[in-house]
Amino acid sequence: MIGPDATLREIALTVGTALDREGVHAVFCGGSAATFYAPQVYQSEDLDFVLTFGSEDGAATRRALESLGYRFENEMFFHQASHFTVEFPRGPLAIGNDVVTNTETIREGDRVLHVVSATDVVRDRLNKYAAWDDFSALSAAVGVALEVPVDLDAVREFMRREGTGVFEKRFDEALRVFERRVRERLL
Amino acid sequence: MWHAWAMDGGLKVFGSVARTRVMVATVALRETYPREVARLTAVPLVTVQRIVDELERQGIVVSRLSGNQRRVTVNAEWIAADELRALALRLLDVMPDLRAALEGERRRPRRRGKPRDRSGRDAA
Repeated sequence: MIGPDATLREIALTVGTALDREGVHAVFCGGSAATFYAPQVYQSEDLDFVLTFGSEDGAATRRALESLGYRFENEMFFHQASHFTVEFPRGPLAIGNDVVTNTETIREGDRVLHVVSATDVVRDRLNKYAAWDDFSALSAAVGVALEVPVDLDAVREFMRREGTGVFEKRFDEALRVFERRVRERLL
Repeated sequence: MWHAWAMDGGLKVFGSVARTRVMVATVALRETYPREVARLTAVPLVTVQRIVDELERQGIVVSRLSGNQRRVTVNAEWIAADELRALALRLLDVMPDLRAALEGERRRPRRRGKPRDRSGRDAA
């Protein structure tokens, strides 16, 4: 149910289920996925879904969202009863140079949500921090890593792979700061 | 008992509390402008400008005009630029209010026309 008190998690599950019922395969991602895993640490008010290849059916997507009371405006979906917006950034779903192929499927009762893994959320946020000096992204990465199990070796490997050439120093530093904050539980 | 907030309240590593806050914010952000530093550090703008002038005279930061905005960056050619950055990022760990201010800023790009959230920040 989309209402003023619905949390981001509830809305993600509701929207994910509506899309699934219309035959649209979409993956929940971005900063909103960080909130999904660590709601008390990082608050996003904008739900991002990326349609997977072969599932880019605009009409079906719109039908799914409108059935929940959303209206389409300025390339995103708004709901009268909720401040959370829903957006469909252009795919493919990628983090840095990596195309994301493995995602998680959350099932709660008859509801379903495809979401990027917690490890991918951390990789994505850390990539943003390294590239833009965006401390809100760093905080989200640390928050998720402290909240749910994350494959830190995969995160390290990704950062080393992304941080090549002139970016090496930036990515090394970002990884160092992230690991220190996780170790010291600095939120 | 040691408290991070107590240290943050009086940290004078760079000579004064204001100077320390301005240094840490400027270095951590990598590129910024005095008004942004003033807002994030809660140090008056004229004080920030004075500190930045002083740092520029010493060759620690450099600035350039972009439109009518003075963009300030750490001088990458300065002898201890890397060490200064490592120190600033470490100090930020023990300056919770400054850290929170920086974490409240979105610096990554944002699609044009995207609304701000209820707190006035750019939506994530």
